[in-house]
Amino acid sequence: MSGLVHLGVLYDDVADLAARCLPEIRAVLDEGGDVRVTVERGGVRELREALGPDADRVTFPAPLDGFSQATPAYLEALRRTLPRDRRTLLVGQYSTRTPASWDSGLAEDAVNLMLADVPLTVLCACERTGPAGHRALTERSHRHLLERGGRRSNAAFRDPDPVSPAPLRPWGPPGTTVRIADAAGLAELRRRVAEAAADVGLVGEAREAAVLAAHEAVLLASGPDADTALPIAGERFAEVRARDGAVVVEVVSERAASSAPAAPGSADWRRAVLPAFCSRLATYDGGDGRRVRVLSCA
Amino acid sequence: MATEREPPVRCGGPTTERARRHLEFTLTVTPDHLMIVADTERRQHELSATWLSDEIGQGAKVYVKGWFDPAEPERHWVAGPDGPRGGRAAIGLGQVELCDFPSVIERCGGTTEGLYRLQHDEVVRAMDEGWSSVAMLQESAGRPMADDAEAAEFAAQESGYDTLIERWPLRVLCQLTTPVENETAIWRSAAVHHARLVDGRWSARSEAGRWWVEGDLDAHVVHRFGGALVGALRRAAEAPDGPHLRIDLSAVSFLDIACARILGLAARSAPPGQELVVHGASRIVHRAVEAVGRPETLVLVDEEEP
Repeated sequence: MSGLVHLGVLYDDVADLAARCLPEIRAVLDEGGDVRVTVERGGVRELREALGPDADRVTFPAPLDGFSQATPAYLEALRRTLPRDRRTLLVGQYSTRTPASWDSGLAEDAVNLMLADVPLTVLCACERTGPAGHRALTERSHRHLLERGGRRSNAAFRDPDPVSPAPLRPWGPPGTTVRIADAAGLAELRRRVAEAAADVGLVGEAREAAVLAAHEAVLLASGPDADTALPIAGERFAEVRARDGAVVVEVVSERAASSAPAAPGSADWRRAVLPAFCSRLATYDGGDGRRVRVLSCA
Repeated sequence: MATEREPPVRCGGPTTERARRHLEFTLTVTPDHLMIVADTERRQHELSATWLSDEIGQGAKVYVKGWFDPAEPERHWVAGPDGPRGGRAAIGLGQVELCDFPSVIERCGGTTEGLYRLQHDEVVRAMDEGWSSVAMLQESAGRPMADDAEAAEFAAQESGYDTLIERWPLRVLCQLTTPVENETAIWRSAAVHHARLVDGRWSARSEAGRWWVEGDLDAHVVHRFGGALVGALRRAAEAPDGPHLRIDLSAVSFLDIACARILGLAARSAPPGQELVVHGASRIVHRAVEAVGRPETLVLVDEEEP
């Protein structure tokens, strides 16, 4: 069963919202999955009518129920409680009535980074005429948008901002931090990741893949120099977080003074291959260096 | 001919247990012509001292060739705190002889044939003196290895050791200390010494028709691993049971994408008709090799298969 499907839904009115969401909802219901729709009253009414008798198989929580917890706690609980043997579909809605305490940006980033391996479909509905900030966040946070004709890729999608607290905040402080200055540091990181993976139930090939992903994340964070010269100049460290059957490794590499800009194709091969060994890969380039996050799950 | 001598009494020394364990793999397969690769001189001395301690302890005559001031042999690392157990005493007794590279070049006339004669004479002299065996340690030379002709000379000189090993109880340790060598020299040295190689967290040996690799293979050693792999491929192409290279990865504990890529590149560049056949690879190594693009000439054999 494949992992996360995270779709932005830019709609004109509730009829349009229902028309766009209905095929995805029906597909999950047909597969025996769970569907939870958290939208305002008009959208609920429209979807109930469109679903007909199948509406009884859908849960419609009150919009404010999800906001009773702090955003990190809600997301962490979501990851822990979602079933893994069938798909879950969640429909949420950007609303002007959302409490100010709810961090929509963190929620979107955390879905992308923390739930990549979960059999979950998330539809984030945003009215086209709503606040500009909602629309901008919708366009930035979704690799695909949901049209009436189906899914289409979204050129405006961007990886979460490097200063985004996701997944760091929902996952709490790192279990371990490793400074990496040479081959011995890399080996130490591999050992720590192997231990952390085993502690959360990753065994065998899954654990080896997590170790490999962490190792490659360091090299990817180190830029093109890693292909030609080791040990690499510059400071870097890796934070390892593990819980609920998954390991997140974030590597922060400060740009070395001598580091040359990447030659065409340089290090691209590593970035192209690395996703084969992790559930989610995100890279960020900033003026002060590069950050790489990898999420590894069973 | 002189009679065999009693081995000297072992003295205390700085050789660490960690270094001994590191060398154990290679020492257990008779490392008659071994190369140790190290990223620092201190680490090189630590590992080489283990080897030297054993040779001195076993009563071998030891010839050490390297860069040092011949007027002050007592300042050589073999005689110092980084050296082997009993190193200084062994120099004083004549069990260990030091020779600096300029003197070696002068004595052999600067030719490969002359070097072979020099080494041959050293072995014969040691046996005549009654030593039970002979050990030769060659420090990292820092050769420019500027062209193919020099590389061929280097290979021929190393082959001379092997010829002597076939005839005499001789063991050879070649040091490769990476800070004093250029990339070409490192690559070519690894190629020539692929059959017995200890390099940080990985090592390799040729035995029973296979090239056995052990330890962690990562981007840090990918250049040396690539050189050794190409050396093993070239040797297999000429071997009676060739031309395919059978490489056993069952003792590899980690292999990263850079090294998986090198396996594919080496297989792609093999001459027509030659394959690289990988035995004993774990599932994750299979995945890594497939992920970087496995050529048809790189064959992964499942462990269950004969």
